[in-house]
Amino acid sequence: MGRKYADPPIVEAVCEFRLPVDSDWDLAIPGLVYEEIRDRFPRREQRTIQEVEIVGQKDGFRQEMRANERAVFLTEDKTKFIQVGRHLLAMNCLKPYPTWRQFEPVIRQGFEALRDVVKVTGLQRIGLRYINRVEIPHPLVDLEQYFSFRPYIGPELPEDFGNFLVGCIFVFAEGRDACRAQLRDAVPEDPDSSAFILDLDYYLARPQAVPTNEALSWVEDAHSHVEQVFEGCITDRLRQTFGEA
Amino acid sequence: MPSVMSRATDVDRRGEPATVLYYQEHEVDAGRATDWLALLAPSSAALGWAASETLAHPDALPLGFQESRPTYGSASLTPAVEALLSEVCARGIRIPRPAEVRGYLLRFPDIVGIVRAAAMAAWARLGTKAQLSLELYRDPEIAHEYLTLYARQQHYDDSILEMMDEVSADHEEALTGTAGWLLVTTDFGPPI
Repeated sequence: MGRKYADPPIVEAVCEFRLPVDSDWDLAIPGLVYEEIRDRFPRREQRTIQEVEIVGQKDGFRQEMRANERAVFLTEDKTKFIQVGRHLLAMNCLKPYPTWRQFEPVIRQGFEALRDVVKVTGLQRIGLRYINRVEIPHPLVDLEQYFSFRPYIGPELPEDFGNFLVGCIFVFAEGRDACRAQLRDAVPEDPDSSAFILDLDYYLARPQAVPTNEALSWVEDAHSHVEQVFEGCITDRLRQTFGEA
Repeated sequence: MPSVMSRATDVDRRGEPATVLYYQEHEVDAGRATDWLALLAPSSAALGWAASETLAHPDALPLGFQESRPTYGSASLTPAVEALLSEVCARGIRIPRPAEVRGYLLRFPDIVGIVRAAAMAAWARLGTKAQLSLELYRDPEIAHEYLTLYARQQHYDDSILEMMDEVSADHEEALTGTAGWLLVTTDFGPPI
């Protein structure tokens, strides 16, 4: 992201478009989208997202469970896929992340396929999320050496800590957009290493504030901002571990 | 069991049902989500549902109250997988080769919630009696692989088999129709 790295830490990139819940939708839409993209995403899967809703009533709580089906259309190697669920279109790219210049056309293709089959009158949410996984070959890591965005541990606190999570929402475009940054520890591949997840989610904070025909240029701008936040979160020492492309 | 997002609905000041509670960031600590659900409705914890998806509403508070808004399931896979691995390790369950387990769960994300539920059930029943280890089993005869949660003891007794059967019975029904698979078993080897 930003600079070109030989071994970028991105383990998943996702771009999602959510339509307003009152917009037109029917069960045929995923199939119609598939017809538009099947040349690049020939494999099909169905995934179920379970929701649990706890409904509070005067006489106590009641649980409601329901399942939302998502159609998933994948490339042959399954590292890129398009999800179509009720009022949702998402384009995912797993490791190895190619480049933005290769991921952006996937986003464009998916979004245009949706617009070809359904009248998109507005966008409740647009999101561009990059999940980075960093592994450092030391069991104990001084975070300050690798991250400019990290938890601050005051001098009165114990120096050693186990799990951690730090997060912040940065505001962009005068509050129209936001970028949620989170850094947390993760399970390393090697027991003698330390691993961290740097999760950056740039999203449209004001529902429907971007016209549909400007959505793709919004995504392009979002990518620039995510790059900026990513580079701001890490130090040169960590950059060196990614290598130059 | 697939991934779960939760939304809590309460009664507003006029006595009308209204959605006022959101839980965001299940993937940070899925265990906490279950605890939170248990606070609201004690029986929900017994369901063993894994709250492993982000609601990801841009305005949702990390754990708080707000006015009625739509809730969203996460479109990304990685956070739920990472949360599962972290929680499993935090319970002392071994994952000798995390990359293999990670890769499998990303290929078959429909079992993330089931693995979590089974691992937590196994930990609750066997955690003090056996070493638990989550591994990817590759069948050497055919091109087939699946996740396996091994329970290993220094000296085996019959009770461990009964307890593994109980854990298996709890999650096997949930595996019906899933693309991924999980087996809870032992290889009768010593703890590693």
